[in-house]
Amino acid sequence: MNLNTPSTAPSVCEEYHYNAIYKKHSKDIFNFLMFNYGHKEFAEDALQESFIILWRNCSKVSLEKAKSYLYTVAKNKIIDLFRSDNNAKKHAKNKKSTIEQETPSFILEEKEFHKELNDALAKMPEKYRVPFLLNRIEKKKYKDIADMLDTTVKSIEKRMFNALEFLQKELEINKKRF
Amino acid sequence: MEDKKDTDIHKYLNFELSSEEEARFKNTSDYKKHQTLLGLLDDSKSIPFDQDVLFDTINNKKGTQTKVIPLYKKWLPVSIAASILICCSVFFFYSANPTSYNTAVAESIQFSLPDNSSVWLNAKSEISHNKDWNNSRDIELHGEAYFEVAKGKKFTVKTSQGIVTVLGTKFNVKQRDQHFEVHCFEGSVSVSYKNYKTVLKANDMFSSKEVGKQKQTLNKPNWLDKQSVFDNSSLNNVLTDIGLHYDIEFKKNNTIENATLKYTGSYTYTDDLTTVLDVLCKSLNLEYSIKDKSVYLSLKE
Repeated sequence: MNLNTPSTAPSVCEEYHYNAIYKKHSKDIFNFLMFNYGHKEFAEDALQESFIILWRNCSKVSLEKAKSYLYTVAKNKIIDLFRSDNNAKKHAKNKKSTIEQETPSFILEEKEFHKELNDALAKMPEKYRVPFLLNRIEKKKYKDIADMLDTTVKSIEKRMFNALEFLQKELEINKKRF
Repeated sequence: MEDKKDTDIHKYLNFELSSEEEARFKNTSDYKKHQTLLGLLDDSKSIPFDQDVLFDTINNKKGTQTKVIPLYKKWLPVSIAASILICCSVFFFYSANPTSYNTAVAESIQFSLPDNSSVWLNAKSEISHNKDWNNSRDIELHGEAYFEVAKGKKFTVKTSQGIVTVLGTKFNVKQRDQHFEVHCFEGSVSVSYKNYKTVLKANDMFSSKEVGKQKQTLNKPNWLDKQSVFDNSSLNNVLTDIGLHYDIEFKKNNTIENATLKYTGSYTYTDDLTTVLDVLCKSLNLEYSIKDKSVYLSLKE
C-alpha cells in the first residue's frame, strides 16, 4: 500500500478557491468579451461556460493557471457561439423570418451620444477598441491590460494612441452635434 | 520634446498624474485636442453584469451533470432534423439525468436510493446519482452523508477529494473544503484518497488530516443525533461546523488568527446560537458580538 502523505496544496476543486476565482475574474472576463464582441448574451454564455469547464477540469488546472484557462475557454466559446449563430442565419435566410441584426453594444446607451459612440467603436478594430475601453471605461492600468491581452505595455500605449486618433477622425464628422 | 508630450498623455490616461500634474496637463494643447472625446468617455459606462445571478446559474449547472444535447436557444427551425434532435435529447435527458438532493444550512434529510439503501444527508450538502441502478450504483457527494447500503453490486461514493467503495455496509463520508473523512460502522469499505488506498472495517476511520487508519468507537455519527462533538479540534473546524447548522458567518479578529486554539466540547443543533457561543467562548477565553448574520470573534483582553 502506498502511503504518500496527502498534499495540502490549495486546489481549484475547493469551493472556497473556486468562488474566490469567480469573484476576482468574472467581471473582467465579461468586460473583455463585451469590449471585443459587444454581444451581451454571448458574453454571459461564454463566461458561464468557462467557469463550468474550469470546475469540470478543476483537478487539472492549478490556481495560478486558472485565469488564463478561463480566458482561453471563454474566447473559444464565444467564437463558437458566433459561428453557430452564423450557420443559423444562413439556414434561415431562405425563410421569411426576420432575424434582427444584433448591433454590437460596447458601452451602455443611456444618452444620445452613446449611440454615436457605439457606432464609431463598432468600426474601430478590436485590437484598439478592447484596450481602449478597458482603460477608459473600466479604469484599468496599462500593465493590467497588457496582462489580460498577453502583450506588452508599449504595445498597449500604441493601441491607445491609435484608438484616440481613430475616434477623433470618426467623430470629427459629427463633432458639431456634441 | 515630442516624446515628452506623448508620455504625458499616457501618464494621464494611465492614472499616473498627481492632481497638480493633471491640472497642468489639462492646459496643454495635447489634452485640449482630445478633451471633448475624453469627456464623453468619462460619461460612459460598461454594460452592466449581474455577477451574483450568473454565479447562481453556474452553481446550478455544475452540480448536475446532464448529458442533454444543448439546443441552441435562438434557433428552432421547423424541420425534420430539429424534430429528431428534440426527440433524441428528450430520450437522453430522461435516461441520463441524475437525481439530486441538497440541503441548506441547518437542514438534514433522509431518503432512500433505488436499491432501498438509506442515506442521511447533513447540512449544506449535495448528493446526485444516476437513475439507472441496474448497472452500477454511483453517487456524487459534496459535504457529508451517512449511508446504510443494501447488499448488492458495487456501491461507489465520489467526492472531489476521494472515493469510497462498498458492497453492503454502514458508513459516513465527509468532504468539506480540503478535508475528507470516512467512518465505517459496519461491514467494510474501500477508501481511495489521492494515491492512498485502504480498506476500513467496522470502527475504523480515515481522515485526510492524518494519513492511515484510525479507530473510533461510535455506533453512528453524532450529527444523526443532531449534535457535534469535538475532541481537541481546531477552532476553524468548530466554526465551520457551527456554520452548517446556524445561518451565520464568522469574522475573526487578527488576534485570533495567530493563536492556535483547540476546543473540546459539544453542542446540540437545537441549542440557541448564543448558548453555543457562550460555551465556546468561555472555554477559549474569547469574546463575541453578533450583527445581522455575522459573528465577530476576538480574544478577551
